[in-house]
Amino acid sequence: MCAEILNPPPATVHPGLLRRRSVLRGAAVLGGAALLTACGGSGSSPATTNPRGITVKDQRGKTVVFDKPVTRVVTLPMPAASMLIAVDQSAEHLVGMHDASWTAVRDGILGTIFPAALKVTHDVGDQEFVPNVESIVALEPDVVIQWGDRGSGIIAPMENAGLTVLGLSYGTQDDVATWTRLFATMLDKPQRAEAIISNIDDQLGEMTSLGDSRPSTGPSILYFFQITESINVAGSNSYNDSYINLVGGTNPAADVEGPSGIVGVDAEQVLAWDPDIILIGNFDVAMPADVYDDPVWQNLSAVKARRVYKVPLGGYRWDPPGQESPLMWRWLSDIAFPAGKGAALRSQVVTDYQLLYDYQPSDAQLDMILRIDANRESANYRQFDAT
Amino acid sequence: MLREAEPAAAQESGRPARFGGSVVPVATMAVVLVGVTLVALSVGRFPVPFLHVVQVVASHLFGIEGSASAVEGNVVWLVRLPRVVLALLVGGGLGIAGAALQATFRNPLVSPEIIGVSSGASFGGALALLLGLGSLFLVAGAFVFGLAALAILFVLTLDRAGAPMLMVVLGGVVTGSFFSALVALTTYVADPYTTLPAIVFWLLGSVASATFAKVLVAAVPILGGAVVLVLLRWRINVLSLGDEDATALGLRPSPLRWVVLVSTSLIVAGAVAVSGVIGWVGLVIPHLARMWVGPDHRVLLPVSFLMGATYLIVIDTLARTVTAGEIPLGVLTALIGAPAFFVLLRRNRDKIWDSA
Repeated sequence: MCAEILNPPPATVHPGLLRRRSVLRGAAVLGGAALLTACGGSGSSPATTNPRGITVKDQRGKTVVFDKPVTRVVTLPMPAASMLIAVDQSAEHLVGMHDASWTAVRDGILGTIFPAALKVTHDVGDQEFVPNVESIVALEPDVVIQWGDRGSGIIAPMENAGLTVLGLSYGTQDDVATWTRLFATMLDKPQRAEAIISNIDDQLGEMTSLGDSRPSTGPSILYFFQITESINVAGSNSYNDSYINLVGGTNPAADVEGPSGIVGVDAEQVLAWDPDIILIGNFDVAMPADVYDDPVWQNLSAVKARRVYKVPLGGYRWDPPGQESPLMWRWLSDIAFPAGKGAALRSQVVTDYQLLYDYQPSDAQLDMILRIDANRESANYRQFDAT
Repeated sequence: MLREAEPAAAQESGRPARFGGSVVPVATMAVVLVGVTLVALSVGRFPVPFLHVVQVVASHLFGIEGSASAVEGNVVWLVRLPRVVLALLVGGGLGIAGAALQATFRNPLVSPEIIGVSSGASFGGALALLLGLGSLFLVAGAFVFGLAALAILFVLTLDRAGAPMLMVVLGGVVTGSFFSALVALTTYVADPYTTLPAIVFWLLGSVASATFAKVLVAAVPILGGAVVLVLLRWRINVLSLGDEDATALGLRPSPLRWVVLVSTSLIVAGAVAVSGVIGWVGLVIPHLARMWVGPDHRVLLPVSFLMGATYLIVIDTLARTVTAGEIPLGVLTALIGAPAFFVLLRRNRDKIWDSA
């Protein structure tokens, strides 16, 4: 039995239109995250190095053999670029990435840590991940990373042009582990995969026992995928739902299902749920102040208690599953069950960034990642201030 | 004898007997609309007792304090009311615009989308969303480009004194296609993580993000355009006879037609700006109204407005109450509108247009 944990949609279209992935039901009842730990690499796989070269099997089940470790990689899936950089601890093997990956690098801290990443070509495909085959061929990549679960239309043209393509599936923490192993193997840095994955597993274990030790009915936490023009929240079978349960909170939207886990709801429904805590995701421009100032939300418990928070943005967005997910869990845990001054989050970010990027963020950078400014007016946020 | 039977107002207007016939359907539809509005205000995912709904409305309108809680007040006044009023305006506007266009073009297939204004307005709105501008620009963009589409239509047909119908329809189709391509281009270059979902949602058509500011923005052009159309109801009757007959009756069809087109464009641009493109209302409602009250536009136009308003309020109320997740409005308008239209078409095959 293995739960697949969903992620906010890869977002090329309105969430409601996205494909449905498998369902995570009753995660709260079953102790949510315990399921996560039960998931090893499912199906797809790490790879083996042998005298004849490096063999990897992608998530389509296709086996590829490289003569030597890859040195020129093009990535189309948005989160793949930052993950490749994390595994490689360098941007030098990344020769092309999706434009939206690049804007995340530019706007987040990754561009500061790896200035070379800003110079990487980023016109390799459109927002539907249709590859620009000729510009990719011109980059002479050893391998192209592409979605493997969106039909062959976005892969076949590249393979026909003689490119080597690895297909990925998206959406779960489990997939993150699989990607990490895949990247580490093709770069011939298997120890990187083990280091990153064991760090995630350790923190997951820690969070799971912490979550289990908490009262069964924690604060209700509603995650807004979008709130400005349309209201979209994380329902059941969303990745967000899984971490809300992981830290011991409850998701008021847990009885709402939508394709991909993100569902559009009416403002009135939000008022009826009356969540204790509101999270505003990185897929909307809104900040806590916008919610505090909106007369419609005035009577919400979360607004009255000033418990509206913008989700942090580090090497990648913290909302979907990724290499920085453990930090998201810890952040949410501290938000939901504030322990007062001196939260361990800042030091954990420093520790994890050392592992992921071999980088020591400054206090100002930590403030930026944790969105100290945007969340200044929110309750219990002082716990994340620099000491 | 006869005079005594006529209302005084009708005598003054100098068109006695005819006026009487329009009162009943219009009044009936108005009563239905008021009833539907009240029901819509009373139902939703957040339970508010009917008495409290009345108290909330009364306290805002007349300053009478009731026992409704602050949350209930917000739900009724800030969430439901703007949404219901917006659905009323948009549905009514699209209904009357469709009826006027079908008469002007003398074609039962015409809807506000056909003259290209919807596409133009969509592009304006999508552009504002793409550039991350505020809702003021969203509305302004829809207006500007909706009217730009109309201006292009003007240019395409301007030097033809008669502006034959075929040219206007072709011009509308061409303009519409052009702006549709620009909308596609907008979604193509939009950031898939931030702006694209907002654009796609807006294009789907919804009144979910209603606020009083949007109501105000929609009210001015929609009511303005609707009033002009109602004032022109006589002439639209003449126009629907065809250019030759209209000319014979002493009317200049071309300028009049443009007044109707500008008015409908105003209405459509206003509707699209606040709610995206909501299909079906402009096509189906005029037909339903015509089956009921006949082709006389003095009755048909106001009834189309009231019926469109009622229809969209009902649909939107279903969209927000049936499930916890919101059902897209465009899906429901077609899902409910199409079969209903189909049944009526079967039953009234001979009444649809020929005898009208």
